[in-house]
Amino acid sequence: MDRNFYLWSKSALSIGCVEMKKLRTALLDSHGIGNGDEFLSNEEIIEIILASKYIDEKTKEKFRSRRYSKDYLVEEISQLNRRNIGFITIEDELYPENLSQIYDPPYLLYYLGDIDVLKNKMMMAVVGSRKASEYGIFATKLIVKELAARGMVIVSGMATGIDSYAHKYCMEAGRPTIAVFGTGIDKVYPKKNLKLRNEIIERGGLIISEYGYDSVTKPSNFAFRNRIISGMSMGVLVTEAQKKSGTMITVDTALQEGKNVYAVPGSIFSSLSRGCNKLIIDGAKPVCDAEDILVDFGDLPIVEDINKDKKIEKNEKNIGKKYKNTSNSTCVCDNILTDGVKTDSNSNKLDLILSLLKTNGAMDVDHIQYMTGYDVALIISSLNKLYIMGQVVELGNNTYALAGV
Amino acid sequence: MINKVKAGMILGIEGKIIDVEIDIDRGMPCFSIVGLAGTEVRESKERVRSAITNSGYEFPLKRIIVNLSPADLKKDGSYLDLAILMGIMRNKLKVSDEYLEESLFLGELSLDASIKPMRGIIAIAISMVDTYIKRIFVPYDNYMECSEIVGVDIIPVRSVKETISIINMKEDKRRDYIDNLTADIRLEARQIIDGEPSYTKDIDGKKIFEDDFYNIRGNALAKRCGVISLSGGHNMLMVGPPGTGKTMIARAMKNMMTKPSEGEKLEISRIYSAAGKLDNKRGLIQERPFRQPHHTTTKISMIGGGAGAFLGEISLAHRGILFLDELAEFPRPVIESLRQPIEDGIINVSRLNRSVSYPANFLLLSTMNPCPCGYLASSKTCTCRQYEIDRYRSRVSGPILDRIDLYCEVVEAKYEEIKTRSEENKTSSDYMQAINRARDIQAKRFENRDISTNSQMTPEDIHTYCILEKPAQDMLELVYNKYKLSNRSYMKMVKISRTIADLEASDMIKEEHILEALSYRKAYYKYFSNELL
Repeated sequence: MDRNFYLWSKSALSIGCVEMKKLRTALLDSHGIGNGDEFLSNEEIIEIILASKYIDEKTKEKFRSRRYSKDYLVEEISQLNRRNIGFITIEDELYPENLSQIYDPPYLLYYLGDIDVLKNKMMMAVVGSRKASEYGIFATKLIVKELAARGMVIVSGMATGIDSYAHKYCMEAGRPTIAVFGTGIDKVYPKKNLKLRNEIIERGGLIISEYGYDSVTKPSNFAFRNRIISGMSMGVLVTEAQKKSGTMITVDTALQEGKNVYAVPGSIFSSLSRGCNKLIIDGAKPVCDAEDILVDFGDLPIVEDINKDKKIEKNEKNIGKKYKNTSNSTCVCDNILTDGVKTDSNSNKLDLILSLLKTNGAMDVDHIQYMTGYDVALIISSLNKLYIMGQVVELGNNTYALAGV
Repeated sequence: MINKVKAGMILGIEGKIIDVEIDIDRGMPCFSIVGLAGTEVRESKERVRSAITNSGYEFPLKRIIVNLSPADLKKDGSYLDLAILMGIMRNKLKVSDEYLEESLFLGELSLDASIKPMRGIIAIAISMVDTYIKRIFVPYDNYMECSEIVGVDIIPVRSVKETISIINMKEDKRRDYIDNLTADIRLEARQIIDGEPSYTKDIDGKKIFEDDFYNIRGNALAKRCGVISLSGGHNMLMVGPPGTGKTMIARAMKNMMTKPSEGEKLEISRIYSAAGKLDNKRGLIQERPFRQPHHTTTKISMIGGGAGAFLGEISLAHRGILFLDELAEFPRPVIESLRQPIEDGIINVSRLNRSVSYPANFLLLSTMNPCPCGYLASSKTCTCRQYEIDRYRSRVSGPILDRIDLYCEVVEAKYEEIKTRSEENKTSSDYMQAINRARDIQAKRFENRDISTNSQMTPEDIHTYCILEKPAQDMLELVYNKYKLSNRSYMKMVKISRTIADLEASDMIKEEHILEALSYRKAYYKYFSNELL
């Protein structure tokens, strides 16, 4: 069966994932179609389907209801091309193997961006609460950046909060990322992530959805697409989640699919961390840094930047200047910073604040003032300096902690 | 015989001279007023008639026509009573026409011929400075508010009889009489002010206001932010969960405002007088105003308007603080209507038959919660959905956020901060020294300009007055690139740095000033920016 068959089934007949799975099994088992040997045209396959007694009557009815039309497909493909949308089917070489093994794999995925990202099989789903705290954001930053730098592709859902940050930090590490939409491929939800979506594409990432352009967004679609996020990946990392949340659906699908579940532990008093802590109690692996995850995949071949050169070339073509500038400026920052530390006369005070943070963990400005007796203006400027130098992190609510873990 | 007398009335906060012409002629006895007179003015006939009779004079039984000009201006209010009466009693006044030409009569008559206090007297009196008017007769109780005005003689009068006798005195005797009178009034006012209880209490040997930074535990950053706001006139927004002390900080800032200059006192008093909110006995307003309209306030009461083009809250907060508690709870049109006044410092109110402009140069101080339930990222559980949070925050639009310089988070104080009354906890008075010094530096800087604070600097001023040391320049470049600042944010950072430098009396902006200023932009990025930082 060729790609057109799937496109016909998807866009003209709206055949569901499980239905298609049964159909394919029946065709392969009973008629020997689908192992790549036969050279039947789509019309002939449809005839076989209609004549077969192993195939569900409901499915047959769908094929009977509409006559296979090449004109329709030509029009459909040109529509997709006009929107720069590509599609990949379950029989394509690049279709993620992990995904094809779940209970209800999507037989056709629409995509925007660079499909070659799928060549890297080291995928890790990073999901979490929409209401992210600074703690969750920073945990995401710490782990995702390292994972990405070590060659993993981060998969997430581009929702508000942790999802968005997962994509952002993956790209900051200079790696492409994959976003799985629960809306139609051409939609952006939430709207404020339009810029993020464009950035994902510009930086050589991939956006996929099983829903075509112009499709109606249903709330249930978001929960349903979670099976793709977990299905593609080798494991699911939850950096911050409440006890009852959409994140837990992703975890459930991951468990059904037999994937590893990782969770970042949090304060037992924070409602935002209760989901993660519950996961750990239930047997998820607690994760404090990227190594805790990577160790599980140690014997897997790390695809080391197979297309890194290609990526940069491509980026220059796409956005060129923009991308280069951002990466350059961060480099320059770091250099100036390290220079600045050496010549700083206030370094004693900075050192004292650093050592306080080291012994006391996270502290807020008031606490630091209480301990040091410094003027608040001095504390604020020192903390900001340390923050810019990357030595402390901000946890929100005027609270700071050491950056190194 | 036609008698001419001058009266005044108030239009917005400006005084207008009204020519009152009175024709007393033979004919059927009648008394009519022409010249677009409002209800109050037409009713003054009865007051004037009774006042004349009750002063022991005789009301002329003749045909009396009163003409008010300019005729196209609608005359409201009872300002003209005294002038009409003086016109009718012209034959009892032994002064030249020139004397009356230079005199303005303001006052509402009572039936027993006493003269009652009125609103807006100082507003009219200020407008008469530098005109041909040389003296103004004002109600006795309104004297204190006008007492600081130079350039025009203010003559307090209690009754019709006294007015006539003052006018008929000889020049030197008249001067003595008025001096005695005003000295009495001043003494009385002095006693009232001295007799008032002090606002401060002594606790731990320190002078403490009722709302004082000394009593606010923790939140050093928010307090510092408040000090910077007051020093440089920067608009400020505090974000935090309920009960953390946002309102307390705002109330304490009320007591920490600098004393207004003499000119500013007149401006403030003029507005309050026009609004009828001036305490007659105390004279000029000595403090900057602090207005706290509730969030159910309408647009009209916020910016001014209505049938009488009344003054709104923003004008009443002129030269002071407009405090909007729970900013996101205000109706959106009300918040949006603040855009132009914040920018221009004045508000134009157009009504059916006139358009007036009121000054509205205020410091916007506001608070809001991080989410509708209030407890996002606090120790309590937030029950809001993400879209509710988004909707709540988007109630404050970008243009308004743009006009706010300082953002800070107010957080829950820890127990040890609450229980210990730390010795180092500074009182509001301690901070006020630094604030006053910073304001003085700015006053010197903008000596010949029409701006007075750092917050009002234009991009050109920033170039001129904000000189950065070399390390500060490097740091600003670093911050600029790291945070991908917009041009506007950059300007704000520099302005805030300038104020911080002023607080330390530093000519140049140093590295730590830039670094500190960064803290007051962070909450903006956290709560209102779609950028992921």
